[in-house]
Amino acid sequence: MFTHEEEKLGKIYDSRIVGRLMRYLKRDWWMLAVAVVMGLIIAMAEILLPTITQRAIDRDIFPVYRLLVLSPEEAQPHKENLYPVKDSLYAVLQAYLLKLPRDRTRNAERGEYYLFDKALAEKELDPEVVSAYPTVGKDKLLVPYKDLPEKENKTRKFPKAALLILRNANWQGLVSFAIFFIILGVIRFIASFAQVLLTAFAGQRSMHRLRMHIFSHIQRLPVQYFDRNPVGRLVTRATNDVGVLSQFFTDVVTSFFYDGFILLGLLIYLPIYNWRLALVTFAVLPPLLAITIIFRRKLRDAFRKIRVRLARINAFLAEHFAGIKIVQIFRQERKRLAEFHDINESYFEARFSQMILFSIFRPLIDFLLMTTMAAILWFGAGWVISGVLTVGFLAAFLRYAEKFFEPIRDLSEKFQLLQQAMASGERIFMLLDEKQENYKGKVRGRKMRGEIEFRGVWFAYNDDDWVLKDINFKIKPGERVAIVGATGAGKTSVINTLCRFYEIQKGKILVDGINARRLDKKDLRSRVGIVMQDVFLFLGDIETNIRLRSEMPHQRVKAAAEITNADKFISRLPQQYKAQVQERGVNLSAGERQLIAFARALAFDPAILVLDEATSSVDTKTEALIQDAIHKLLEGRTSLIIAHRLSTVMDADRIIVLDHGRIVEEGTHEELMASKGTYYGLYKLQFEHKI
Amino acid sequence: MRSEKPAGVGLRSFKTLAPYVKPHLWKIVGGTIFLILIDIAQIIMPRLIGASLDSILIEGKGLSFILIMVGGILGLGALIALGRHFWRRWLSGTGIRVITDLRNDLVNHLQKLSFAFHDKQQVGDLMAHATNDIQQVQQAITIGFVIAVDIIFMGIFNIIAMMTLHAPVTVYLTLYTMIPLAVLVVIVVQFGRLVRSRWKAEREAFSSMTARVAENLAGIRVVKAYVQEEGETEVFRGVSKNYVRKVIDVVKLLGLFFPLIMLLSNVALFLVFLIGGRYVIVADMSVGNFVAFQVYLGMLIWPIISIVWLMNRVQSGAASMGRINKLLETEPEITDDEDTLPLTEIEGRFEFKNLTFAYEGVEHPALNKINLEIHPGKITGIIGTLGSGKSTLISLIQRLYEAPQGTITVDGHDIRRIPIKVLRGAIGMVPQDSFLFSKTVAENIAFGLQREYSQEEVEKATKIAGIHEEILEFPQGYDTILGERGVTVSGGQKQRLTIARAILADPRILILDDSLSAVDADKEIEILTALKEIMRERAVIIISARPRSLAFADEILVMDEGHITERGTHEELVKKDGLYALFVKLQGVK
Repeated sequence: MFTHEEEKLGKIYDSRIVGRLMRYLKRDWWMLAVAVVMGLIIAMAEILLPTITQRAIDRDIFPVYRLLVLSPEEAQPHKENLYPVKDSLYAVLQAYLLKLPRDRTRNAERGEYYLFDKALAEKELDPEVVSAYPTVGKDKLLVPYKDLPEKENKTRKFPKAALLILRNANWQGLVSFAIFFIILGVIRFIASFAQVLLTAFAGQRSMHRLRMHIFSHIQRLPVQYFDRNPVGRLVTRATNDVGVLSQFFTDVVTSFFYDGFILLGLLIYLPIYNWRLALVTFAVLPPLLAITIIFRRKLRDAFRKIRVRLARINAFLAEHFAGIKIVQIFRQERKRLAEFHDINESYFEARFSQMILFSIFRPLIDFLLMTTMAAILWFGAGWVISGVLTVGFLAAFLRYAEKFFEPIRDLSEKFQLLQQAMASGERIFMLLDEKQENYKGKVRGRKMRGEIEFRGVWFAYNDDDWVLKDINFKIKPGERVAIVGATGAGKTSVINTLCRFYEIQKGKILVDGINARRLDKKDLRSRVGIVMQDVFLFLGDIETNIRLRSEMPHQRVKAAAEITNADKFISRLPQQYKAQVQERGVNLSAGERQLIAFARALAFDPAILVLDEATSSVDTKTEALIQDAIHKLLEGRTSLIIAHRLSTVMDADRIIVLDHGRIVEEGTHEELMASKGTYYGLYKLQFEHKI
Repeated sequence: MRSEKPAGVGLRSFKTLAPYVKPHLWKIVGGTIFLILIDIAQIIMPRLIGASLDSILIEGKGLSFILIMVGGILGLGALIALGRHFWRRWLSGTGIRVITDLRNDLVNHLQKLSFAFHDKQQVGDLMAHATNDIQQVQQAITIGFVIAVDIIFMGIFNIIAMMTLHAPVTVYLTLYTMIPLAVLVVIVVQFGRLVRSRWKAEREAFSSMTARVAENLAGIRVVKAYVQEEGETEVFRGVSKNYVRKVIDVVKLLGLFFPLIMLLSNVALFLVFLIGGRYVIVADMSVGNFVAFQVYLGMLIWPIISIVWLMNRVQSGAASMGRINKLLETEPEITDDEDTLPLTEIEGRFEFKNLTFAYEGVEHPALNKINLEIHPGKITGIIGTLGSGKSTLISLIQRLYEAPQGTITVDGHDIRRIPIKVLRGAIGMVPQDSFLFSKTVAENIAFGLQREYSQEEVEKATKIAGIHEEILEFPQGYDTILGERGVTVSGGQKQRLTIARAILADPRILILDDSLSAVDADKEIEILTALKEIMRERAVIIISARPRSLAFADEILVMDEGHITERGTHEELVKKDGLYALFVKLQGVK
């Protein structure tokens, strides 16, 4: 059931497949483009958020003033931002320190201070407290941060209410940062929603197109293709494989762009934002890249191994259950199980070693992240102390480091999706590359009289296993010919070749004197009505089963059903022509199914009727209805019947007797009976004691 | 085709796994301990970061303290990495082990089920159960377990850690942030419900699409015969569009779901920003704790989101488990029981006493009042029309279907009391539809042997079956791989290979079920003559459409519609001038 086709090793990324896939986007490409832009916006918001936090911390939540020794000349250009404490000692906001040359900042003393407005402080605080601190600049009070919080079991020198008034500007600033933060959050929300919707629309619409392409392509594949390929496999192509691709579209494509933007964005933004910490963060890149590259290769191999071994399991099971009867007859259950055990165990090993690979890769990446964070903290702390960094930057970079690792972390999942998508894509395109049946013929739109001639026809389903050997016969318009013969004599092949389900290898089939190969296949088939032995009924109502997908007025459907006696039972059904037919028509009797098939054939009014009589036995009453229906159906039409009923052969103008692919006898019932040849034997065996 | 069940219902179905899991219990305990350790380590981490930040600024503890903290972070990082390695090894590893064992047992169970079961089953469905369903179960049990542990411990630890970070202010702060998080939980649960119902609609649309394609392909000959290709494509367009609509319905929700979660977590962060920032401004909280709190909040979001994920995983896993359980609960209809005799071999005397048999659900009996005796040294020939009951008769001899009590005896015992292994082991069967496995020619021929075999033995069998010369012409001779992935052999070759397989098995009873139909008549006689030589001591049943092949049979049965209409030796039947005589005459004419 599953052949080596499933075992093939596809590439992890195949631009040919992706290229072919993208073609199904058609006019919807803009949706994907907008989705990509949305991804850019989301990435930008993501990158901006930690910076906002940093700004808020450094400016409003925790603005730190440091003391600095500067010569008057050095202080001059920065006068606006310096608060003189005494002599050449100045208080300056730590965030501002970054703007001073590094050699100046070395003079910064340890210790963090906050500057209060002195006038306000006098109003809100205990005078004793105010007088305990020096005044700097014109009107600022210099207070060490460590005096602000509550000390154990002591009344606070700086009560909360007072602090809130004194630091009102900070509070206002924080509120505006918070609002900015939430606005970014909302933008991110909208962009995400738009992105998901647009990709889904573009992806689903493209996948719909692909599915339609596959379906209509399958419709036009030659019948041999269906002999070779089980229905299940083809269904999988049109549904599950397309499903995998649509997941590829929605999950992989968008996250690819988003991850790319984040990585690229951080690589560009971080050095500009703070080169020192950026350097520390990027120091992890070489080992990270090395690990990722090594594991990518190992993972790919592991995935392949898994795929091959899973295919082996599938192949074994397919064969095992298809041949289960042989296994049971020869009592090979234990041996076969041992075989399966080995295959299953090798699959286990592949899965296990992949898991082990993950169990090394993922924790290693996680540990690398921890190391990066520790490094940021270690170096950052030093820089904060020396005054070249604020604590806000430290907090921000801890976030950035995480952001940096995110795309790498779920690499494996995307990897798997990508790999599956490539495999599905390859299988789909392999199917789409399959050659279609050629319908076009030189002779088109001719009305047919219904003359059939087989001239030296040789036919084999494969190679030279001839099923039809030098078949010659001619059926005049309106003539009724029955074909009889044992199983495997080639009866069905006559029909199959006449309708050009299969092409003959030697000889000619002529319809109205024209080589069937030159006829348009659609014309040919619509002029030849076929009633097969196993009546195939579709899900849906009875009416649809008669008119199929053609547009046919109800009157014509009903008329056809009336003539073929199907109307008799249909009109008794509660919903009549709208009655639902269950899968394979199980809710109808064999006889009823046949009558519907007759009605179907008649409704299409073919010039030539080909009938493969059913062998299933039905009750006498239905049998009479069927006989009558066949009689009316064949009226005035050229007909070729694979006969299983006595009455059918008796009614035939002529009988062709096939044996092992050759015509051995030909004539009327009486003639053939008189000659006591093959027909005579068949008659005795097949027909005599039947109705 | 997945069917969704309401939450919780299917959980019990995982009970089947208990015996598989049991031997690995210590690994699961170890893995779980590591999971919890990781959670604890993760909870400590933000504390270290917060303390480091504060130590830099206010406390003036200097770089030595930072060094301790950094060392702590690295130590915890190493612990987390190690823990993550080991839970994967022990929990995921056990998961893979368990489902591998389960798959083995499932296949073993399925292969023991009777013909009647396999007649009804599609091979593809069985394969899907043994691969896809088992995969689903694995995901549910391993990832499901890990996430469940994470949700519980991470959730609890996290909230405790947030509250105790700098009580009492962080308690208030936690409570504030709980407002958007509570909304988040409500949304997760509500959305989960809504998404599941839309998911179900999507699955149904997918199923009906699959069914449509399957049906179209099953009826492709009708479609082609009536030139309905375009009409069918148009109908499919509607089905496919409907599916797309259902997918979009799901996406609209999910597209809103995850960004909304992000938005709400941003709202929670916003509150931390505002309220926490205010606490820092009024010196109620340190900036290090402010940062640490944000980290905790970030860690809390994911367990909440993964609730949805967990529910889905467990549910589809439970549905798959249910399907597997159903298969495992199916009992083989034909088994040995307490009445089975302790025989190790049989002589091969079969007696049919007035046997009438009908297949399940079919009124019309396939066999009617059959009386027959088969014993070693007797060759029985059967000839008959299509559906006359020949193959059914053979199936009953092998006890592939259950014949009514007392109608078939083997060596004088009822067939039901003979151990199945002994019975089938004594029968060498060459079925009508010969099946070859994807093995070498030699392996295929020796398929029925439980023991080692020599090349000579194989060749002896192939020579009798008249296929030896042709095998030598195969690309790799006896080592040529056959089956679907191997070389294609003609119908006649296939039949002769399967005959060689039966010959090599050296059975007490040899049955050829029309197994030379694709071989030409002269060759058939040749093979049968060779067979006769070696089968002198055994019981032989030959079914053939060619009376000439039956000429040397000790008794020939002519069957029709489940009845034996004529019986006797070739000579007797020819004299009778019935159907058989007619056949013989026809063959002579040819």
